[in-house]
Amino acid sequence: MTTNSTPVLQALLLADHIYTDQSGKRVICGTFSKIFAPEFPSVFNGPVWAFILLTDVVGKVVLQLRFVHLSDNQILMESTPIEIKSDDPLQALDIALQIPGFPLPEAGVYSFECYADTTMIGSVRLQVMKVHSQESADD
Amino acid sequence: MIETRKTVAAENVKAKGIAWRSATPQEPIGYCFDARLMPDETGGYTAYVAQLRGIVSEGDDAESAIKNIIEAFQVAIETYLEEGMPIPWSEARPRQSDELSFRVAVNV
Repeated sequence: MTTNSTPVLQALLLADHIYTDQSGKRVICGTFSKIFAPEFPSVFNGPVWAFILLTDVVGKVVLQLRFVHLSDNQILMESTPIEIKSDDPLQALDIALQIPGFPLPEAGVYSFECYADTTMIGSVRLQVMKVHSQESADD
Repeated sequence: MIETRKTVAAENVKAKGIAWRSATPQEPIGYCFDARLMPDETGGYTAYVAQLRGIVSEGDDAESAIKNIIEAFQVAIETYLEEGMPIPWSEARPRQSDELSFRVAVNV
């Protein structure tokens, strides 16, 4: 029997790093939703990591992560398609994905959007703010 | 011993093996938008782009309405790009209670 179900995104997190321990557990370090840059346009020097947790994966699903600038809806970066598969919709599948540096044309709100085949199943917002050098030094 | 690990790593996904593609001014990747679908009296749907005024399409069912609004969006974006005109994005219109909404990514 085949089913056309859409995976359910249980979690999507951005983090400084994700380790995988010997037992296979994920250790998610430094989750964040804001970043600061002294000037624009800028490039955020990665890598950063995305943690993706899915259920309801039936058969093969092609995932894609896209980095979108929400003020002009432009896709600034996208991953190559990632094929995942599962025969058990109740099974939770986790993915730790490394993201290289990404462009930041201006301050504002950006989004990492997770697509399963052609359907967006969830997103995480990233607020990008300008910081003056003194504030940078204080951090 | 209690096993606390409840999830499994998706097979075949090597974190560092995933390639990324960045947009450049010469080679943009594409755009995302919210496709909104309003049911009409005939059983079909009228579709519009929530962030771009004036782009409207329709379809006999939701699937064809989405397909048609994507085509209309692509034509509009390509026209703006070819003419060198800025794309007149606006704040997304609030979704009405009877509307369906789908996030769509379109490559150009």
